[in-house]
Amino acid sequence: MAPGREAEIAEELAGHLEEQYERLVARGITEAEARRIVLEGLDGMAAELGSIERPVRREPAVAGMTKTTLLADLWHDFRYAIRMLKRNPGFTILAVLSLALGIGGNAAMFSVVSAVLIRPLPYPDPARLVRAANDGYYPPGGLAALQQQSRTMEIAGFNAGLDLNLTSQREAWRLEGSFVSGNFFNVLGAAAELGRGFRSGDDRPGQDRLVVLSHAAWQDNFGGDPAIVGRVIALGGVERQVVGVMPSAFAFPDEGTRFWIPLHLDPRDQAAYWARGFMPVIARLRAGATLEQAQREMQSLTRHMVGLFPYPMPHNWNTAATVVPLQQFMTGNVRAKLIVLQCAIGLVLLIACVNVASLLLARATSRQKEMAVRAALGASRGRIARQLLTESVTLALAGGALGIALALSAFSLLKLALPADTAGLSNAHMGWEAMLFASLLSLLTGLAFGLAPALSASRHDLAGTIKMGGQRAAGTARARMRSALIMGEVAVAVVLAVGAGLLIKSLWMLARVNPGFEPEHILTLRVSPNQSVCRDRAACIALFHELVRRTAEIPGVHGVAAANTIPMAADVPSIPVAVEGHPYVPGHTMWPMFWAGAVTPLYFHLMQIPILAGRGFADSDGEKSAPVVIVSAAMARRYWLGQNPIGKHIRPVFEANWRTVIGVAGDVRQYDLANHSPDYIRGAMYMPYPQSVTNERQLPAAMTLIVRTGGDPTALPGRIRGLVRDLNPDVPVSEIRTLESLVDASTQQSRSMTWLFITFAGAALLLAAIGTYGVVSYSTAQRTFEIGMRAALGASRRNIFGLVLGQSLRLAITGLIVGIIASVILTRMLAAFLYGTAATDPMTFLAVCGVLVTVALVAGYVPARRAASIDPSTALRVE
Amino acid sequence: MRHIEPGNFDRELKKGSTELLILSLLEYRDRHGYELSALIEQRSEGALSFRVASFYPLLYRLEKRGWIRGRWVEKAGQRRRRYYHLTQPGREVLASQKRGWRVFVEAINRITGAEHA
Repeated sequence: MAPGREAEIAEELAGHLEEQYERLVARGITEAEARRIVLEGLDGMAAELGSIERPVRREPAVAGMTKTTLLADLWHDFRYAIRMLKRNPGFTILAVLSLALGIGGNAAMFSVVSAVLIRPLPYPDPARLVRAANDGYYPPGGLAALQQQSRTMEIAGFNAGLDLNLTSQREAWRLEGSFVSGNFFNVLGAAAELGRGFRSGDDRPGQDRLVVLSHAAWQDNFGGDPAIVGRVIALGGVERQVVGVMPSAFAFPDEGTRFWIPLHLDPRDQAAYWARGFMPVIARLRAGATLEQAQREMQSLTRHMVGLFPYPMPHNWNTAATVVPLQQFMTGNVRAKLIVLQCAIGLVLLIACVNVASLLLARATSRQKEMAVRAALGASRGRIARQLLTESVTLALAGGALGIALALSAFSLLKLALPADTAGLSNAHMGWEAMLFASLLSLLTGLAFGLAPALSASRHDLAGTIKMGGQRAAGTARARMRSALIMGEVAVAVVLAVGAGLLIKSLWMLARVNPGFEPEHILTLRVSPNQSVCRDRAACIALFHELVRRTAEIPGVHGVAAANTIPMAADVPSIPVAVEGHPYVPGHTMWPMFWAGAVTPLYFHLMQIPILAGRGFADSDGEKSAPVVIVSAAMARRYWLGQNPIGKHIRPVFEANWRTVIGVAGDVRQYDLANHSPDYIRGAMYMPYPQSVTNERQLPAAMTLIVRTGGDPTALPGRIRGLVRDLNPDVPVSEIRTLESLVDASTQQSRSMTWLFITFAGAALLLAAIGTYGVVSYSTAQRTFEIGMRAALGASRRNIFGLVLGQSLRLAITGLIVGIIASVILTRMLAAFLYGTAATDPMTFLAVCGVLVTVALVAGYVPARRAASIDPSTALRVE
Repeated sequence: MRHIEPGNFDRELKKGSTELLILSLLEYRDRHGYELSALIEQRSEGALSFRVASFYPLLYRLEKRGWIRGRWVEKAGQRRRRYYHLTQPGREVLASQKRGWRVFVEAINRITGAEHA
């Protein structure tokens, strides 16, 4: 039979049977009996039709022909599916929305995961690139030793976080860049866009006045000058020749790197060669070498290196030194987070599928007549199942299309949950791969949730349906399957809700953290003269003194201070310090590293950091006065517990003179809200600016101006720039932001991740509620007779109401129990993202139980009311 | 017609007359399948009733001969139905079949009623 014809006949007959069935039931015949009568009328249909509709002539087995018939069949199935879906708009909209959430979310997540975790590094043969670990930091002398001795790897090093001024342009700029070894670009295999990268030997003293620029720097700071290669520019007060420009895709170590200059490797300066500038090391495996060989070699070379140091290293320094694949290292900190998010969105899709499967199962029962007609027309079980699967897949594809649209609009929100400088994140976009992924996922999803209902519905055989018992058995089996599906849904929704609850609590705990200072109304600006300007200490001190004084005179300014860094700027300048009473034992410990603040006297007052003992700094603590320091309360507790810290002494190890502690300041969350400081920082100290030193034994030249404002701060930056230009036109002003925005930004990721989880959990709970409602409402409709009977036998409305509501609660609570158990096991995965909250926080679990019971009550309310208002006389149709 | 025992009808007679009934029911109005079978059953007071398996093949045969034409009609809020329409050739067949019946019935009446004449 022509494919369209069969579908048409099926539809027409189904309609007839439908009307006949309704007439019979209206006359008072029971549903079961009516169904039997109606379906009986189909006996012999195929035979009768066979005599009229001659089969379409088919050439025997020509491959092309069969394909076109299959395609024609599918096309008709598709159009039929669309019609069926349009007939039930409520179901269709619900199903498409649920699927859109699940498929769209997964497609978006896939784009991020593929950009960050899967896409290989943009260098040739990236699998052979490794990075040293445990701890992987080596001084320049160590780097040179590795380079000379390694047989398995070609070794390079880089020291990032180098901020230098670009002067002798129209404007002074502050650029971020990195020191790199001569073979750095070769090891990565990165070719320059213009000119060349560095060569081995470019990092020897005397040869190293060179610079390679990034594409962005070439465009933004040099206007894309076509003659840039060979030009001499002034970076950090040093003249360097531009030898090349890297392409815009090259961003090592991160997107903000604007220039690369050669490491200055001078073995004669022992302190710089062995005691400072510990840097990360990368390498490329040589041909024929394996990762395991390289790991073993790194460990043995590091062990031997200890003897090369001109001073004794602690015996446990880098004993577990190894190398790990570079890709793995760079994505390490986001891998766990991405996996958690991917799992969560996967669970949402699972719930959506279960929901739609449950809805389809419910419809299977009501479409029995249609299926019976098709079977009577001679359609095989496979044919019927194919029709139903086409419907499922159509539904899923519609959901996928809507999902893509949703995902495109929300994609940027998803990216906010990861650290902004994650490698590859800025390139993450939803491209054709995401579309392909979404299409495949839709197909698979449609097949997955459609398979069970399709098989169940097509298992129809005429004889079986006619027997009343067969019908009821099929109905009950389906009902049980639906209940089980719903309980599963609820369990999964519980897991997501617990996750969201834990993250919410964690965020709340984080918000209550006292950062140790008050960020309101504070504007910060980075003022960074070349370090060479501060070689004359007095001139530099005078520069900042004058700047602070003039800025304080601007109307609307309530106070000005300067500091070498501010909290949460992710910049932790540290120096090794000797502490009175805690002598250094060579070979057993390293000098403790302290965070070293250099501040002007008003700093503590403006930031509202309390002075807990002693006094703050004064203008009298100048360059020529007695050297003083203020220490943090934590440092005093650690080193001088139970003693009076005032009057004690500490000093930077490279100085001979001790400095006297004159005050103790409150602890500040210097690094981020969750931690005070990295593990290797053992204390914090403040020095008055005129007396301060850096690790390079110089006065810090780059300082942050801290301005407390009264009113609107928008005009201030311009005025302050003007002030700085008047004092010295070669001094750039950069990083202008409020302290509040900095503190805010530090919780940005936690907030984004929490909001994502709230969305997922919300969607999951909504879907579970709809699923529960569906099952309870359907089962109530099926039990109309029974309910009518109960009512007739004296059950009150309230009893019936409670009966139905109880069913809803039972479903929910079973799911809840399973979900709680699953949560206890699974929330361990979230532990790394929680602050001040245990992964098994009882309050959260209790809250989720409460939420779920409420959801179950709401979902069951309408069916319960409907049941309670059933009129027994209509319910109990007496035959 | 008054009540007639359905079992006395010849199968072929039933089939032949059903065609005439269908065509005549479509003379002034388009109707759909269920409507047709229900009307026939109702107006014959139950003497003529059809199972789906026998009725629809009849309709399709008529359609194949070109005497009726079916088309889908979708009304708001209902499932779509296939309405049948009497074609011009169908009208001619109906007219000739009606004439034939009349002649036949008159002949039968004359023969059986001759006793009363």
